Amino acid sequence: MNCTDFEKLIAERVGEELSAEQKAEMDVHEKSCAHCRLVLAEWQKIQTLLLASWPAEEPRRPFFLPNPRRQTTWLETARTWFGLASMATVTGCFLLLVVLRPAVSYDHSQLSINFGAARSEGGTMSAQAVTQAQVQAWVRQALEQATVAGVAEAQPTSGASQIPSSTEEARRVTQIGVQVEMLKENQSALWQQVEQHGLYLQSAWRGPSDPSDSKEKPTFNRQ
Amino acid sequence: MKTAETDKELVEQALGGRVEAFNLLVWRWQRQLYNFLLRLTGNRSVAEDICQEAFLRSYLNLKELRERERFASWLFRIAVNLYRTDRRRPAPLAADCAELSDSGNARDSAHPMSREMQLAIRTLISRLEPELREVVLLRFFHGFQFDEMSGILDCPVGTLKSRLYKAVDELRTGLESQK
Repeated sequence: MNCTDFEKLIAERVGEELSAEQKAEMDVHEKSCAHCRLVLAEWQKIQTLLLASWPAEEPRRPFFLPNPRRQTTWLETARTWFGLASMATVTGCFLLLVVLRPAVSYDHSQLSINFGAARSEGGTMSAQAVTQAQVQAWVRQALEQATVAGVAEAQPTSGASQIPSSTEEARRVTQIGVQVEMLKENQSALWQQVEQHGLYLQSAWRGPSDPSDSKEKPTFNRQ
Repeated sequence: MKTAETDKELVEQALGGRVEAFNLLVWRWQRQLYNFLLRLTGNRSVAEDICQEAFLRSYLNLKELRERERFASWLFRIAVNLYRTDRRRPAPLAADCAELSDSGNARDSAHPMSREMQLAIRTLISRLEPELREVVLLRFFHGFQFDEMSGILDCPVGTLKSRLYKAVDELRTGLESQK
């Protein structure tokens, strides 16, 4: 080993990174060469000075790692509970709708809400949709009553004991004719109302199971 | 008596889900890494930040470590890359070194050296080019071998050797001028 080879391996020598064979060769050369001894000594001195000039110190704070099983924050907890409460509320409302089966009705400018459970207690109400045939039957019945009432009004005294005069009789006939015309107009208007009510009632799912219930019958509005 | 687990064993345990194993690795290497970064940057806060980030990244990317027995080299490489990309790092100045000399360890009786001499040598180190400083610190302060340094600094061994010789020359010249 010459001086050039020695200096090439000084870094490994100082860092104790040499094989035993290389170290032995360097030792032999070191003993015989004052220059290489001096160079090696300088390297070792520099290393010693460096280490002495800047000793290691402890970190001011420990280095933590994120814990995979971290604690949830209050905001996350609140968000979770709020979500669960919302789901419970929606589910509860849906169940109430299914159980109570509320029915909304609009009759004579009055909005009312009835619940299927309450109405079913009487056994006369149901949430079945009313059929158009039922409505027509109620209207037909009402019209017959109204016609009978109109005729009765027009002839208040059946079998008149007094013989009316020809002028008075003519006036009465005219009045009856007018009333009959009014009744016809009422009938056509009523049929229109019947159709409208029938559609509404069908959509509202309400109607009496017993057609004889006068409360649920459409009333005959005499003009 | 149970011997201490090797880095490789701890890495494998950490990969298996045992977080405590990685905490042991942190405990084992935090002093070395922190002091390396402290000497590299000359600033405690920057060193702490990079150190913390390096541990965090190593934890998150542990599965990418192929040679598990080389955890330390891999960790230092992460730290060096962070240092190189860290724009906040201040230029190491003599003032930083003066601040560092206040540490209790610096007045350790095992290292009988005047504060002036300590400051002078630290100033010499901090005035080295970053590439030379990295090599000097890894080699003389932390005892890494050339092949390990090659992995840490992503540089061929020959280049590292030439950098080390150059750094020693500069330090020798600087020390002679101090006399």
